Formats: sequence, C-alpha cells, structure tokens
Amino acid sequence: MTIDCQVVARDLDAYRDGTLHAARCEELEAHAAQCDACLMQLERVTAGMLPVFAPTPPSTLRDDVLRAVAVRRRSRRLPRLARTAGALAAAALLFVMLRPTTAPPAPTVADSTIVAVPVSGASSASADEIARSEFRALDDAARELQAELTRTPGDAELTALLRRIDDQRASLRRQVQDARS
Amino acid sequence: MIDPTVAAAQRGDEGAFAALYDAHATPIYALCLGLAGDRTAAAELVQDVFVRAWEKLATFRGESAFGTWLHRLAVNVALESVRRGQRRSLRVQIAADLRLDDGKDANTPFDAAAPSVEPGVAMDLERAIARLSAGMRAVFVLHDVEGYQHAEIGERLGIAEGTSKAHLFRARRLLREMLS
Repeated sequence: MTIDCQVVARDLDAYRDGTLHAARCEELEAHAAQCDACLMQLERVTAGMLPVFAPTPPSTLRDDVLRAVAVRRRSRRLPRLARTAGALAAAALLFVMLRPTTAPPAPTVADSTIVAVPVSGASSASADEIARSEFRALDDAARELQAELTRTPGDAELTALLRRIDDQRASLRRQVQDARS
Repeated sequence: MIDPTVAAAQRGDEGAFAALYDAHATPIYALCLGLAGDRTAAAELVQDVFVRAWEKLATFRGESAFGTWLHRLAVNVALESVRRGQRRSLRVQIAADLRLDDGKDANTPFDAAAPSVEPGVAMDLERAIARLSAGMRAVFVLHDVEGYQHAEIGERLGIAEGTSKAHLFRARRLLREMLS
C-alpha cells in the first residue's frame, strides 16, 4: 500500500510523538524514501531526537592496539632477520670452502675489524673479503635485533636470533683463526 | 602537506603512532561498536583497524585529512569483518529486513544474538543499537555516526538508495522506542 504526501503531512506529528501505529510508520518511511520533500519533512521533525553516539573506548584498548601493532611490525621484520642469519650460515660455509690450504701465521682477528693478511693461494683474498662481509652483516643484524629487543624486552624469538648470531660470529672467528694458523 | 605527527609515524616513530591513536580512537571505536554491536568484537576491530593503518601508513599521501583516510579504512575493515562474521551477507540481511517492512514478520527487526533486555527498562543507546538487525545497524551507523550519504551507503552495502533511507528512519524510530 502506498500513501501520498498529504497523509505524510497529516501523520508527521503522531510519528514524531511515537503514537503512530508501527505499520503506518513503515508506510510513511517507505514513502519518504522515495519522496525528497517528505524525506525533508521527516528529517525535520525527527532531528536531534536521539542522543549522540559517542561511547568511550575501554581503558585497556590503547595498550592492546599498540602491542598488536608492535607484534605485527616485528612479525614482518623477524623473517628478514632470520633469513639474514640463514644467509650468514651459508656464507660461512663458502668461507670454509675458499680458505687457503696453506695459510701463513696471522694476527688475531676481531669481528668486523678483521684485517687483510698476506696469504698464499689465489682464493685467500676472496676468503678475507667474505669474512669481513660476514662480520659486517652479523653486526648489522645484531644491531637491528638489539633495537627490536629494546622495544619488546625479553622477547624469546629475538633473544634466540641474537644468540644464533653470536654463535655464527664465534664460529666464523674460529674458522678465520684456523685458516691462518 | 602531511601532518608532522603522521609523517613521523610514517618514519616508524611509535610515539607518533600512539598520538594518532589517541586523537582518533574514540570515533573509530564508536564506528566499530556501532557496526559490530558488541564491545569485545568492537575492541578487536579497533585493533585490526590500527594494525591495518600502520601497514598502509606509507600509502597515505595527504590528499585528504588523515582522519578521513583513517575512517575510510575503518569502514572497510569493519564492514569486511562484519560480513565475514555473518553467515548471511549484509545484503541478504537487508533484503530480509525489507521483507519485514512488508509486514510479513514484525517481530524480528532486531538482532537475535543481541543480549535480551528486561521489559520496561530503558536502554542506553549502545545497547539499543546492538539490538538492531545488522543491516539496519550498518545504515544507521554509516549515516548518523559516520556522516555518509545514502548513495554511498547503498553502494557500500549493495542496496538501493531508497532502501538505505527507509532503513535509516526505521532504525531511528526503533531506537527512539527502545530508549523511551
């Protein structure tokens, strides 16, 4: 059933007061949905009848949100750092394969401050380069992990990755020393 | 020109991102609570919105106000989630609501899953909105809380503009009844 604009005009007050029968209310609303003039009338008589909807967020929500963002950020960074650690393991293997077979005595080597030493064999320079590059990459990865750990102290995954990098560094140092002894 | 706080957040400044949360959390929570009709679900939605905002922050170029950009994102996330969470899509739900408009069933314009309310006890607006059907709730929140026009609501929900208008008035009327 449809109603016309005159009926709407007649029933507006009852609609506003909540005394109009539900079925008639729906007819009136359906008509107004198709008739701009009646829509404006309906808007006019019902304007401001509802309170503003402004609920307060729970007090714990802020921490939850910021924690969720931190977890998300970390979950995106961790795979990259883990891949770095994996790549370093592969590089270490390459270093072993390239190391000179008859290396002369070498000075003590310390992490990324490793210095080039005269070695015999065509591959010794390459081995040195690889070692330096590996130490630098390990240092970079460790710095990133430390920074991440500062944001999320005590994080088990980050701690494990850091330990893995320390192990890699120690292993690489041994290999370099072996190669030069 | 991008707001300095937004720019700082884009560079990874967590304090700046927290400031953005503080500035926008209340209206975003209202949107999520209105659409979800449930506080727990709303809190999860707000988390999703801000995580998504963080992920997409680099794509914000300052072509609109950050708040506008964030609200658009929030509406997308919330509607997507509400749709996922329902067996019937909003469109089907709204179609069902329309059949109610035809007077075939006048008893269920409300969300059956919403908490029941003691007869004779006036509700607050939050609980009243939660009692609306999902379709009506979506129209009401998008129009009266978010300020969307009916044409856009129709587009977003896959319904006719006239349907959106009819739903809005019906939702407002039911809310008034529940609040009185």
